[in-house]
Amino acid sequence: MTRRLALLCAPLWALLLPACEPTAPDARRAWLWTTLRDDARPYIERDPALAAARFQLMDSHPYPFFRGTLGQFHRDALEGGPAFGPSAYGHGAAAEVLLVGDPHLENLGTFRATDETLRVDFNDFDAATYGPYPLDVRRMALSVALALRVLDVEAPEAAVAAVAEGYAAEVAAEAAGEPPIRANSGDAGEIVAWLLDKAKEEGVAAEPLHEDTVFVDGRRRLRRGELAERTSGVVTRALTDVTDAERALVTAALADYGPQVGLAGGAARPLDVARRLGAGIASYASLRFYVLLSGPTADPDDDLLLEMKEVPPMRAAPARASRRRPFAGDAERVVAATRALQTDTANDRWLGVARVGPQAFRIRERTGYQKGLDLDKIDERLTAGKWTPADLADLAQTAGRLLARGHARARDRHGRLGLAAIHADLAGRETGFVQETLGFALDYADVVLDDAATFHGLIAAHGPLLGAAP
Amino acid sequence: MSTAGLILAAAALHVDAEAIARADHTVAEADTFDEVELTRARLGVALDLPTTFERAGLDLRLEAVRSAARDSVLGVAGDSLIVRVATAQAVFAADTGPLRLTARGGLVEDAHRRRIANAWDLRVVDAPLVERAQFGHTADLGGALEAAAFGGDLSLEVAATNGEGLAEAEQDSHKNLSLTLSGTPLRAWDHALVGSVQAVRGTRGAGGTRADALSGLVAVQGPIVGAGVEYTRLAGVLDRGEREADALGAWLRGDVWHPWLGLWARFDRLDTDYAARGSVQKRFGAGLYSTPIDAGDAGRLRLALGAQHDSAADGSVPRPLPEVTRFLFGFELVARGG
Repeated sequence: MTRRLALLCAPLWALLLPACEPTAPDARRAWLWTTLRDDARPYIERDPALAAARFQLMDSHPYPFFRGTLGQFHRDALEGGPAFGPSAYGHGAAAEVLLVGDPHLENLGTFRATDETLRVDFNDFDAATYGPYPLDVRRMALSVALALRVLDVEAPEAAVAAVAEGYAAEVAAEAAGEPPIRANSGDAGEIVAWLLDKAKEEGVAAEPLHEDTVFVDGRRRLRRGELAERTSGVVTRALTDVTDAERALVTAALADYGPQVGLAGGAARPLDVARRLGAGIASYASLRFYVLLSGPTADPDDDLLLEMKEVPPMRAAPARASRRRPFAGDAERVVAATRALQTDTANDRWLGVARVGPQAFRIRERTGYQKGLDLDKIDERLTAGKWTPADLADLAQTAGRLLARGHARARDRHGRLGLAAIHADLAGRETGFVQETLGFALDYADVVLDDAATFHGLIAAHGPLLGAAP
Repeated sequence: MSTAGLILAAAALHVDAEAIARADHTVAEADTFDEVELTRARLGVALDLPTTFERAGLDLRLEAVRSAARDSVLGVAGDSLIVRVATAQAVFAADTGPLRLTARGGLVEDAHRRRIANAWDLRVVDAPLVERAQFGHTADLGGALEAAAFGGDLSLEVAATNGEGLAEAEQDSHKNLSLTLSGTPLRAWDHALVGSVQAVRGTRGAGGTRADALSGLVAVQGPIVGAGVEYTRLAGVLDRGEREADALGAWLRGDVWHPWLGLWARFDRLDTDYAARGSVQKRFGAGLYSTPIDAGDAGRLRLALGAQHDSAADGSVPRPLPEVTRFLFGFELVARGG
């Protein structure tokens, strides 16, 4: 009926609105420009220099661009953007699963669990929310596809497909009553083994306490200045003095956070506080502080280093509309998801929430046992012949299994374990799931590469803030 | 007393207030949810300055809204109910004989949407579809000039605005232009046949994404019977300039025992991507209403109850939506004075 009404209106439409339909590339360019500026606006208004540095980092390489455009990925998923056709998977209860939100290669890292064993797990849950499980699998597979594309690895299909294969295998195994994956040994592949070895070395060496602190008059203090080389002219690791307002903010946050982890009164008074700059991509311009606390004894070796990070708001959640709001706020969402989706609910006993007025912070411990993966390292070791594409496929499969384990064992929006819904949705249809995920990841990797090139043009044409007046 | 003080002392002040609250029981697949919601709370003030012209004055309207969208994690102190400016416009009107000219400037109300909202007078049940679908804005920063003839029964309005609506500052250098033609060709037995058509040429956001629209309304308004159709077609949806969408709403209500009991029914059809198959969402609702206090222009109290059913095709945006059935009870209180 509306089609007929539209036809009736067509002459008026043509008279009043002369043909001006933009071409698809022009429309995508305008969309990208508009949405990136919208997403960055809080940062542009608060700290234009940091916002510009974030854009500069995203412009340095397609992978940081991918990491900085989760909002665009979610919009495309929600609005039927390119490569996001209707999925045959993730319907009904399987669309209400607790998601990592932004799983990708550089969000994998090591943790030391409460039983002091090391394991690999996802380490960033800023975008965790409820939604259809294939979305996480697609995002993870996309990161593998994009990484292999930019690293010029031939025939990436096997490694990309391994994400969905690992996911389906883990779901089937857990549904059969087998124990969940624990990526804590070389059985999970060469790259996991390397990560675990590095974490053990640096953990024993008490990094980053030694790396980020110095002794002044016999007491440990945080260092100041740039602690790593810049990437494309952008600060990647620096500690700076805090302003009086920032110190007051940290003090108020610690007062809120302390009782959650047994730090009360004087124990929550920091030895030193510094602003941490240069971390993350999406959250590059978010407030982030390092807080040095005295340990239980006077021995500086048991001092504690906490990271206090502002939780950036999500602009477009991939979940379908629901009246329910299961989390009190952003920080609570991130902390609850971390505990629910990681292997060990106490990977970090210092994990907690702080609220100061409308601002929400996630606080966690920084130790040398937390070792992350980055694309430069993968490139370096592939080039040196130390790793092979097959090792990447092993890593991709482990990532898929870790995702499945998290989804299966976390409770969904309605309090049910995710496993039953996912298994019911996937069982007997695994091959189609792998093919659908593979097709999506390869297609959307092209979209990301095109968008990154478009973004480069936008920065060149409109300046470091995409034309925004700070 | 200063001249300004004398003028203000002689000014006439009109106040109106509106509150709508609802209790909903929603069933979506196996899930149920009960909620009491303040759907709308508005306070309007109109200040008329003494003038030899037809009107020189100011309209200010405040409204309470949730500070975060549904399922959003953005908001002011969570997702508080906050008060914002809905319209704030300076108005100057002059009667030139055959024509009444009205100029408005500031945060100006969209004339076409106001007519749709007036025609569908059961907001307690739902907002007009064009509003619910967030197709455009109810008010925008800019200016409008209207020429009306035949005592206001025929009018043409041209408006130039930012195009970003209530919630956003201007993001691009383009301005939206809209042309609205409205008329009331027939009046009989306290009822009127009204029509309005609006064309908008616009952009949104830093990238100046296309945001064109064509919208129409045909309705019968009156105390006993109300019926109408609203239709809006957008070119440029969700910041995607290449996409087109449309929304069709149709309704019928009538008093069976005036003013105590009436029946209402409404059907909405929203196509979120005109070029795609399976992108349609539908809502059908029906129920009863009562207007135990009807003071005409001075206000009214209206109660409504009913049921609504939402359905969506697999390809609907955002993502496959569950079938939803909603049972509602609400009241609407409108009062005007001064």
